[in-house]
Amino acid sequence: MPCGGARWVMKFKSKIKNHYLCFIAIILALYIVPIFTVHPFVLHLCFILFLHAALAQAFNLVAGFTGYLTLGHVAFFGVGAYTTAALINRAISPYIAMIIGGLVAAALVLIYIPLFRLRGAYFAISSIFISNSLYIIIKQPVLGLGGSVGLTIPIPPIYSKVPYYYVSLSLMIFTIIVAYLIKCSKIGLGMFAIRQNEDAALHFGINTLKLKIMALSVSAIFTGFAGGLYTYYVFYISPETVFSPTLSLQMNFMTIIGGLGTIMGPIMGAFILTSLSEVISYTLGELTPFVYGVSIILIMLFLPEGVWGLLSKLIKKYSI
Amino acid sequence: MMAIGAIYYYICAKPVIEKTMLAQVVITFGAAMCIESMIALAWTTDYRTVTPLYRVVSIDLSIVKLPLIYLTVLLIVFTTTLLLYFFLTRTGIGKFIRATADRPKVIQLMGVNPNKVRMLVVGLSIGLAGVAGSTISVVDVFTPSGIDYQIRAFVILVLAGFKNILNVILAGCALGIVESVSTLIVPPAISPIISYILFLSIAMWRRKMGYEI
Repeated sequence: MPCGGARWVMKFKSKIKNHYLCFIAIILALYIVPIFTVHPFVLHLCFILFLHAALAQAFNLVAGFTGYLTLGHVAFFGVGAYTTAALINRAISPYIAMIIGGLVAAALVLIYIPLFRLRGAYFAISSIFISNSLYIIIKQPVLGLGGSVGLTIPIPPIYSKVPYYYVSLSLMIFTIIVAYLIKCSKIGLGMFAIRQNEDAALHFGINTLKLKIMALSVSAIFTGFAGGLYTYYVFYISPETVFSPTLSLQMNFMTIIGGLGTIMGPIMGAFILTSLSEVISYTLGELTPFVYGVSIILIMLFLPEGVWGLLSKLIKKYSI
Repeated sequence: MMAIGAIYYYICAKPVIEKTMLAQVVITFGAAMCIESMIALAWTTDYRTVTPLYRVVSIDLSIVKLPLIYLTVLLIVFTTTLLLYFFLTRTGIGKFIRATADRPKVIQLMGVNPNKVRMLVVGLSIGLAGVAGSTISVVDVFTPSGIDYQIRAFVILVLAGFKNILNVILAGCALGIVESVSTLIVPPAISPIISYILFLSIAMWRRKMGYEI
């Protein structure tokens, strides 16, 4: 693995330092943006970018690291969003509510445990079933969660977009750091072994079920927290918006366009795709899904390792 | 529809057929998104239905009244499936197709081009989907989005098991009966969950019994 190994570290020590410095500089630059501008559109765009980046990174923890494609990842997002909304309506502080939302989403992983026996497309389809079932259940008015009308939460008296900016930025950075730590550890090696060949990994004494549950729970916590954050940003959720299959596909596409299994790939993919769709929705409007579809086909055909794969190849070639 | 299928095969399916499951699933979803949005642009997203003249006619059998339209659809479906069955089991091309599914490398040594066979199969499958689509258009309302039918097709495939053409009819009937009867027990809104549970349990049972699913 590129992250471990003393020889590699010796060889590229100066380069790694440069990369770390770059990363820290970019983060600091992002943290002081609200000092210069508090324009609502800039902050809104940044919030959406960071939220999508965090979602893509969380998705990457499962699909990229262990190779289990969950096409129904939006289930965690929706559960987090609904938990947060229900708790805020019971006068609980929003940040605590978001964290509880993440934990409840992680508890949902219990349903997935028997499903881990299935592989490939079967697992993907079953995860769609789970998100669809949750969508149908939440829509029932008996539960007191608003049925198909949805839930609203009270808008705070002093409203500013700056705190949202900081929270989403911190969430994104936190997901990056967690993904990096996992990738560099023994757990990450085990996960990549599962992605390459699960039976072989099992025979080498890796507890594959445990690792899969771990990856999915960490991912679920982040996705649930992001769902809570989204709820507290728009103040209104309905089953159609927070359980929409489009969001699952978006997470997929962002991660795959950036590069599955890399650290910076999902972030780049989220930035590319989200800014692309913002531009398209002004110029072409209805063509957004078409552009999504075409871009994913082109990426799959010509850049199977994603944009980040291409970039790192170029970096290696010219040894920047 | 078959020509569209062949074009689709050369653009999307051929480069990824030897690659991972993930690439195949993702590229299929991407293509579905493209086609769906093109249809939505061309014909808008309204709910539509086709009303042929014989829609209101029904045959009176004293106990039940059979609408003619359902009988026609049933007839079309059974004929197509039987034709497909005989095509795959009784003709030479059918033999090639089954052989390609089993051992694509060996069939190459026997002088059959697996790419051409696969093109034929993808074209055939998309053509059959077209037949299904046109029969659905006369009995039900439809929109550009067809994910429900896709999921249902997958459930039926798992129920029937692969490489079993006649079982598919049985599995389709079984799923239909389960979906209809379950509305007696649970509210109609949550009846899709019953078919999901059915799918999951069958898939896991097959996995446990060691079948290749």
